[in-house]
Amino acid sequence: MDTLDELLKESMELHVRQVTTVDLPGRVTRRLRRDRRLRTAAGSLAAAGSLAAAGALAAGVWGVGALRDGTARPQPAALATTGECAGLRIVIGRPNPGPSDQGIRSPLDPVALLPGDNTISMGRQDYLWLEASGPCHDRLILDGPGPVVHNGAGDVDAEGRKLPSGPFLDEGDRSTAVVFSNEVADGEGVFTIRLDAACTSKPCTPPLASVHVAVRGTATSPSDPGAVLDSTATP
Amino acid sequence: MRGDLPDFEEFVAARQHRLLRVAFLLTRDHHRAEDLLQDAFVKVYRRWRHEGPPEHSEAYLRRVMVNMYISSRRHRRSTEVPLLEDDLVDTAGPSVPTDDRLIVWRALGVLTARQRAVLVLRIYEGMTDEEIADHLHCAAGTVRSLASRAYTTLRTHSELLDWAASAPKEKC
Repeated sequence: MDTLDELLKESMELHVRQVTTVDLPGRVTRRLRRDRRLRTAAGSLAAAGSLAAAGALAAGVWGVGALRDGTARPQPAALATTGECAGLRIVIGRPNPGPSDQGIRSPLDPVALLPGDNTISMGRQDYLWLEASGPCHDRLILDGPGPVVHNGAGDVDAEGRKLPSGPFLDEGDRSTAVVFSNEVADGEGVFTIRLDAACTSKPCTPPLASVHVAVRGTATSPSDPGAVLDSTATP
Repeated sequence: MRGDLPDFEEFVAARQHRLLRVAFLLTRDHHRAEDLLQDAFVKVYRRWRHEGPPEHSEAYLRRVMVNMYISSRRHRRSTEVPLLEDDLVDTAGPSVPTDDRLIVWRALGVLTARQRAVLVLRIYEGMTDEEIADHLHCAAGTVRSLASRAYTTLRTHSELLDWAASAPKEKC
């Protein structure tokens, strides 16, 4: 080995000492989840005919992260105030188009889901992001969505059919889910948030929250994050 | 991934440190190195999930990573900014590089992606030209040619020339 080789080897060995340990398994996990969710979401949008949105979503062009204007995330009302899940909170809103934060999305201008019945308006071929935090956030199931609104990030069965219900995706200190309105016409649907398991046989125990979705109006585009959105607890 | 493929998780945990160093030598940037290795792991995971672990998993991952690096450089066509001396002083702690190592490190930045990959694999990883050729999907002769051009570039790099001219001559 000549002098230059020796110098190169010394230089390389010296500089790699700067390399510090990172949580690469965690990063890989988050990246895989994000990819899977983007693919699922893109597939749903494509199926709904929103190819431009699907392409943009598949390309991950919106990024993710904290609120775009840098303001603190509002503290939502607790969905569960008693029991082991006291302090559990879920917010819903359009996906944040802000800067990337390790590939995890968060709702933009979120509104809190309240215990009991909630009502939400969406445009056609729209989608909304749910984010849960606090106790039990990793045990949540998005259950019972129908054709009007369905679980965008749900798992598929062995034949590739989308399962109607699915767990929130665990992102560490929070869990997320996405719902789509794929109807080309106006309609109404409902999904529920449950703990641990979907309701597979009647009668079912009361869910943590029910979300009634009214799909109205012209299809909205994810590049236009100005969809009508409100959440109103129905006593 | 967690709980999904335990053997893949073990693989990531066992190999990440060594391969992150190789990624750092290729990219010369800690953050880019992490991104590169992460992307390589994700790519390998997809094959692993469907077909099981590839034969010689580490070599396969390294090959994926090196080719992703070369490919990304080809598409990006960006000009690298050599590390500032201050960066190294801040991060290297007590092992501040002496001038010659620093100059060589900066000179590595002017090499093409393939040239740098050849030198890293040859010098740091201790691989033969045939093994490198297998990684880069080229002939061993191409590897030798890339290495030769890399050495020529380094030897004619102005900073190295200046250093060589000013370095004290060793007495035999």
